[in-house]
Amino acid sequence: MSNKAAPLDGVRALDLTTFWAGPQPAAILADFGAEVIKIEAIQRLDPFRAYGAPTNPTPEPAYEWSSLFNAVNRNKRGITLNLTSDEGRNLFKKLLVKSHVVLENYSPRVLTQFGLSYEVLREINPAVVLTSVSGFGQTGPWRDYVSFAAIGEALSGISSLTGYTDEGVLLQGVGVSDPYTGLTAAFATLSALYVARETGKGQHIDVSQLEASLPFIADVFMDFSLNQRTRIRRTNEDPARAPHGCFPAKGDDNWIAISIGTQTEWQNLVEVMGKPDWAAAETFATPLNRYRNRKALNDLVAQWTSSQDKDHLARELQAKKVSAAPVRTPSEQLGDPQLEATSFFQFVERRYCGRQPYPSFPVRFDGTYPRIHRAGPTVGEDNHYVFTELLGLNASELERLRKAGVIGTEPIR
Amino acid sequence: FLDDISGAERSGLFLYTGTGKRSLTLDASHPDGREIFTRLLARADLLIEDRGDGTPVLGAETKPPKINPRLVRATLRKWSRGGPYEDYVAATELQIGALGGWAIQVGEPGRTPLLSSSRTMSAFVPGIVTASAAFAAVMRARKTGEGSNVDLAAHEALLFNTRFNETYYAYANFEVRRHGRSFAGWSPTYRVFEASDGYVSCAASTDAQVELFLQCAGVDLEGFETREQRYERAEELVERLSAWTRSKTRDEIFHEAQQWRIPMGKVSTIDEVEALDQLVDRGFFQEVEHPVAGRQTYPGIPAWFSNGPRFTVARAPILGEHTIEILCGELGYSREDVSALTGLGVV
Repeated sequence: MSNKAAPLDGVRALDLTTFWAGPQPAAILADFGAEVIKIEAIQRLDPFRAYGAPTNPTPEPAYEWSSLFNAVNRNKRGITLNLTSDEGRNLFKKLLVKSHVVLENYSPRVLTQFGLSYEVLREINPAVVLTSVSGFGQTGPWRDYVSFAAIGEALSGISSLTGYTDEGVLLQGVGVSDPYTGLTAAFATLSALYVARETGKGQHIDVSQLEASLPFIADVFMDFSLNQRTRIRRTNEDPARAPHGCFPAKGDDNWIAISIGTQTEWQNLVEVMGKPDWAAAETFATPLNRYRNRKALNDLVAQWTSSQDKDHLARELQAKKVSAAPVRTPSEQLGDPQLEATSFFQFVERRYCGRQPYPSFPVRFDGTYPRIHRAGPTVGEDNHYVFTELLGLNASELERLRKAGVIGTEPIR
Repeated sequence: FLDDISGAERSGLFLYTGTGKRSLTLDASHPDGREIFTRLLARADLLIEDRGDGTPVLGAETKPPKINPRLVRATLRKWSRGGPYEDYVAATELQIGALGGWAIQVGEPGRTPLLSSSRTMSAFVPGIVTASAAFAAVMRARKTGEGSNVDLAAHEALLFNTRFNETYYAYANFEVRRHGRSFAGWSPTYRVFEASDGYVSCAASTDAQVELFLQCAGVDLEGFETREQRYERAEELVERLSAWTRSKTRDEIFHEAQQWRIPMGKVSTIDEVEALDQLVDRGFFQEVEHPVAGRQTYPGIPAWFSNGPRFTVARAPILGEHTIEILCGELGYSREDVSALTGLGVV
C-alpha cells in the first residue's frame, strides 16, 4: 500500500464474530492497517472452520483447512478466550482498554449475558465503537430470530427476483446478504471510528442483514414506489436490449454474456456472425423490433454461439466494441489473464495449508492492493503475543489459564 | 421513471442515489468553470469519479495534488488498468457479473447463468467498496495531511464478494457452480422450499440446526444423522421436509421454525417488503417528499448509530439546485457573477 502509513495505522479492533457477514468487516479493517484480534472460545471455535475444506486433509486437524475461514480472517491475529468465565471476561476488558473497535454478531441477547453489553464496554472505554451485526437488528419483534445469508435474501425480496421467467425462486449462489451486510458494517464502523477520533466518543452500531440487503435492490423498490410495479423473476432480460443474456458456448457449461442495444452494436455483431441471412429479416431490423422478437432472436444467436470458444469470441466481439464477456468458473479465475496482469490473487503461506491464493481487497491505494500478510489464524496462534506482550502475563499465568480452559490451542469439546 | 415518463427529476434510481447530496452544474472546460472547479477542489476532502477512461472530470484537465495535497481521488472503473480487459465495453451489469464470478453461481445446473431482475444488485457492490476505501483514505488524509489515489474496478469488487470460491477451489479442488434452489457444498437442507402460498428459504446446515428442522417438521432423524447421509439421501430428505412446508403458509413456517431457532425465512415479494413487521417496527423505509416526484417511500439507511437521532433520508437535489448556495455562499462569487456565468453557459 505504498510507503505511506496505512489508513488505519494505530487502530486496534477486537473481533468476536463468526461465519462471514461479521468477520468480513473486521478483515477490511485489517486490510486497511488496523491490528485486528479475532477471538474464539476454545470450547467453541468459529463454525465457519467446518466449511470449505478438502475431504480428509493432511496434516490434520480439518478445522485448520477451511479455505473460507482462512480467507475471511486474513490479516488478523487470533486468540482463544472463554468469555463465559470471569477470568476470560476480565482479560477481554483489559484488551478493551487498549482497543478502538469491537465487532460481534451474536444473537442480540448474548453479549449482555456475558456481562459485556455496550453500556459496560462504554464504562471501560468511552471511545470504543461497538459494531453489532445480526439477522434482524438489536430491536424489534424479530430481534432474536436467527438468520444466515439465504434468510436475508428471502425476506428482503432478492430471492423473488432470482430465477427464470415464469419459474420458481432460486438461491443467489453468492449468498449475497452476507457480503452486503459485511460491506455495510465496514462502512458504518469506519464512520463511527472517524467520529470517535474527532470527539472522543464511541457508539454502538446496529447493522441487520435484512436491512443491509435492501439498498442493494433500491431500483426495484423505487420502481414499486413510483409505479406500483412489483418486479419478479425474468431470467436475464434487460428492459430495452436484445439480444441480451448468457449464451451457450463450445464445451461443457461454457457461456458468454452478450448485450446488444444500439444499431451499431447490432451491425457489428452481425458482421462477426458472418452476416447470416436470418439477421437481415425485417423482424430484427430495429432495436424495438429486436426487443419485441427477443425470444426468437436469442435462440438464433444461441445456435451460433454454441459452436464458438467463449474466450476467443469475447475478444473478437470486444474488438468491435460489442459488450461480451465469458462466464468464468472459479478455477478459471485463477488463470484469468486480467487478474494475472494485476496480481489480484495474492499467494500466502500458512501453517497446515501451504501456499494458497487469496483475493485482494479490490482497491488499489496509490497503485497497490492492501497486502495480505497472513491468512486466517490457527487456533490460538497469537495467544502468546496478546497475553504476554499486550497484557503482560507471564508464562506460568498463561499455563494456568490454559489448564483452566480460559485459553488454549487444542479445542475442548 | 415516475409513471414511466422520462425526465431529469423523474428517475427512480437518481432519486435514490442522489439522496443527501447537493447539486451544482458546471462546464469545467470553460476557463471560468475551471476556476470554480479548482476552488472547489481546494476545499474538498474527496473527488470521486467513475469515468475511469482518462476523460478529464467535468471537461477539465486537473492536477488535484497540486491544488490540494490532502485530496483523496477515488476512481471507479469497470475493469482495472493494466490488463487485457482494460478497454472492454460492458453495456450492462451482465458482462461484469460474468467475469466477476457471480453469474456462474446463479441458476439451474446446465441452464443459462443468471444475475437477478435488479440492475443495482451487483452494481452497488463496487459503490460501497469505494465508499469504505475512500473514507479510510480521507481519515488518513485528515490525520497526516497526505491525500492519495484510490482505484478500483467493478469486476474485481464483485469477485472479492463471491465467497472466496477461487480459494475454495485451490484448497479443495471443489468448483462452486450454480445449484438452483440449493447452496453448493453446504447442506441439502440449505435451500428454497415450497410453501402453500409461495416459497420459504432454509439456511439450516449444522448438525444441530438440521436436527431441529427435522424435529420441527416431524421427520424421523434416523438415517439422516450425518452430513454424508444427508447428501446421500438428499432427494428423499428434501421431499419429506417439503411435505411439511407445502402444508403451511410462508408466515406459519417462518415463525414456527424461528421459535425452534431454525434459520428459515419467507420469500417476500417486492410489494410485501415495506410492510414486514420488523421493518415497520424499526421504521426502516422512509417517506421522502420531492418537488417533482412527490411523496414516495425510499429504503432507509441500513446502519443505526447510537449517538444522536436516526439518520433520515434527505431528498435528491433538483439539477443545479445549489449552484447559488455554493458559488455565492462558499466560493465568494456575487449574484451578478452567477448571472453572468449562467449566461455564458458555465453553470
